Amino acid sequence: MRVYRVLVGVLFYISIFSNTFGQELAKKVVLKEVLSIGGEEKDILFQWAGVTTDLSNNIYLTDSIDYSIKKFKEDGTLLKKAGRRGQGPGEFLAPRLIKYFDRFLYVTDQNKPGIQVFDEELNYKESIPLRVPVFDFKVLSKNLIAVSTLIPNESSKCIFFYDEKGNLKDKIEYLKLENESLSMLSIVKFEIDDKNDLYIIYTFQDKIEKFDGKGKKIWSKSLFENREMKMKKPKVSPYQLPEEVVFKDIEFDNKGNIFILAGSWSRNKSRDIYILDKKGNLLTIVTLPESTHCIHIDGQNNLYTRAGMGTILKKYRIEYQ
Amino acid sequence: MKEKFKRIIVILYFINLAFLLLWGKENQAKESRLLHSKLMFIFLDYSAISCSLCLDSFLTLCNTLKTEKGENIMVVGVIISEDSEDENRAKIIEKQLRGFAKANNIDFPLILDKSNIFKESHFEDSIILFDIVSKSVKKYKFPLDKKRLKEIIVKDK
Repeated sequence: MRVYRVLVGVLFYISIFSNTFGQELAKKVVLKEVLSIGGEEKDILFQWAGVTTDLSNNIYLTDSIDYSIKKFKEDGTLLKKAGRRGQGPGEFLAPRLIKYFDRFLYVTDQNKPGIQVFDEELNYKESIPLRVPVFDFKVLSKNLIAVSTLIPNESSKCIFFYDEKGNLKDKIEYLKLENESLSMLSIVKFEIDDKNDLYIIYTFQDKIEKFDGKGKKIWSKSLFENREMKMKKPKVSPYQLPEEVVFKDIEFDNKGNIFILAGSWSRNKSRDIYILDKKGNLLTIVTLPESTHCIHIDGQNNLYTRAGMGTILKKYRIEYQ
Repeated sequence: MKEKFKRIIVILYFINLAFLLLWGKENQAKESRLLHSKLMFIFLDYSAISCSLCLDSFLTLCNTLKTEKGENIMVVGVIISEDSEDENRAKIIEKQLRGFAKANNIDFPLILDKSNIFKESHFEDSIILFDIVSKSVKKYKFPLDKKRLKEIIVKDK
């Protein structure tokens, strides 16, 4: 009986701390550069905008100067380039985000609605028609894509879920806005983990939030104390526009840590990555050698960032100490 | 005798050189008048090259020049950027211009104004057209409407 009680006690403590122990907390992180693609001499990258990787460690980039998507081998060799300027299938005006999911690439364009889908050989396959501009997205399955957008004149700000035909299937409200003139402040980027929990960073607010799959807020966190966003109202715009970007991007590593790239409010503008656990505790900060507009982490915990005004892609191995 | 021969050779060489230079220049000048009766400077702000919507009018002009201009217009693109005095930034911008020109099939030179000569000129996103035949200088601003485009491209008779 006594042994049974001890066993129950041990199991109880294990169950309490399992969430914490399940995540390998990052106390100190060091970045080791393992690859650099592009540079002054090589006319391979001109101004890359989005990056993703596949399961074979191939790297895919969008390039806004030559309206293309490019595929690189793990060692940085250019394998293929596709796309040109235009409005048609497989063409781009300003290619931006690119995400890999199950042998397909999903690509957005800042000046074209919807998401274009390509295979791993960069052949155009189809377009997912969306009527809203895509600010961020995540492919959850072949027929479910989560999208962050900005719809003016709607007080309820949501992450929307669409199927592959562009039909709205679901939404999670993350903000109720009372003053519509501050609509720009509601722009977010996000990540969704394997438990369907939603993590949101605000582009123009010092706010990071976690919601469960049903839309219930779990926590909300700020990283910079007592700072107010400066706003300006251009003559041509009905809205006030924020002057500084607070958070730029969010990614998970495969240990369950959240990597958040901070913008101009951080000490090292667009170079500081804040690493949080899934309870919102700040674990550590790692600083990049050069400013970047986005980050990507692959399945082997390699971090990809931008350098040289988009003419260089850097790949770092994340080392946890 | 040797000295005299050398002197004759040198004199002949200089006469020949002068003749070639003068004759060549005269010919080039004639060709220049024939080939380029118009000289066009297109001034673009660097930020425009990554702004697809800003480029529409510029690229329409480029395509029209390619098909309509014949050989009477000499075109030079001048790129204005605040950062161009920084040597490293200038190298990156020049690289991006190469990519931009190639992607858009631009066949005239795009020159970065590294010395910031035109920075305060308010020439960004405009065209300065020197018409040698009518002896006039005109300025056009992007976006160009059809009438302006036709006015720029019109061939000499």
